[in-house]
Amino acid sequence: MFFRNAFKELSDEVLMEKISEGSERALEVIYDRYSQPLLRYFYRMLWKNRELAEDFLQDIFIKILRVKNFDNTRTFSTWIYSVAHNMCKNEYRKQAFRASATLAISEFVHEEISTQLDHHSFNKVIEDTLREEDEDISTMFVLRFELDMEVSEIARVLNCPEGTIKSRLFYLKKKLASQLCQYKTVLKN
Amino acid sequence: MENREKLEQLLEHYSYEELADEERAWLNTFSSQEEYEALRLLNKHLDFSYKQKMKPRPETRKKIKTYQRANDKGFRVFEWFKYPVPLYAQAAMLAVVGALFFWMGSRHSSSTIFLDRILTKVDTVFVPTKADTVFKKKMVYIKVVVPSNPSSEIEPDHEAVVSKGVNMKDKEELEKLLVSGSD
Repeated sequence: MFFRNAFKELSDEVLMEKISEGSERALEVIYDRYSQPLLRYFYRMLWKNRELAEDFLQDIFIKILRVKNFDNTRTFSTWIYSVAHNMCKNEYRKQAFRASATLAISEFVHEEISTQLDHHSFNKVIEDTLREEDEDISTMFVLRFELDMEVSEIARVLNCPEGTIKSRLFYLKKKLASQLCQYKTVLKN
Repeated sequence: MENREKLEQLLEHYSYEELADEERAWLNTFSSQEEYEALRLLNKHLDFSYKQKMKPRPETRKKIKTYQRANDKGFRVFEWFKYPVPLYAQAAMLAVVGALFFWMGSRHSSSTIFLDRILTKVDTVFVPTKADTVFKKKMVYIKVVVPSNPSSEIEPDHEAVVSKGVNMKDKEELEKLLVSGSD
């Protein structure tokens, strides 16, 4: 119990050092900390494909294991989400899926959502809107609202100014709100 | 930018009905009541209902661990020794070990023997001994014929020199004397 707790108190960066030395306990602690948010991130970013998200989760931890000397000047969480973001970008390019899928799904969602606006369909509106947007703004949105990440950290992950992130997120929220306005009567009910 | 920040603050704290007239007037210059309410609803949804409740499958953890073990060349028997143990844990472990030894010692208490005096026994005696062997210079006595007249050059008689014993005749007479006890 002492040993496990001792590892839990260590910072991510120290744990990374121990992982590079081959420590299984350190990997377990990092996995417990990051597996859920990373899975949710991949799930959101990869078309809600659970299998693909699990594969990506496995791949990103294998990348962690391959790191020999982690640069301690960087924050681990920033680094790991940068890696995750790049993995998703590569996947978009590889599959060339997004452009063709967006149109078909958005048509389907609009038809379905007009009947009733519960939480599920509310999310559908959001996802549909995100698909139409740039990859970076989708990433910002998921990091901010799915993972509760601070704007300053998102700025480090995506390597762009905080002001840009704030304004782009606000723009996206306004766009979502305007789409939701047409369901106003349902919303009030 | 100022508009955005001010609007976000209002959205966070007030519904449209709670806004002051000035704030409503300011809002209506670039937005509407409907949009404001939709934004409020969206914020609530994002805060409470948007997040997924999702856990990775156990197989994923197993696969990652298997990968780590397969790629770990070193033998990890001594990994336990590398664990960082906090100070309070070390102190606790020392206390437990100390208490255990104390308890074990108290269980096997030996009877104490007090000695009135110290008994000593001589087990070794050194006896001075005389030397039993004396080496001396060996003395050899040899009969040497010395000429009576060292100046004469005459050779001594061989028989006289060699034989100084008793001849047969003398010997016979001597035996008779010994047997008879008379002449």
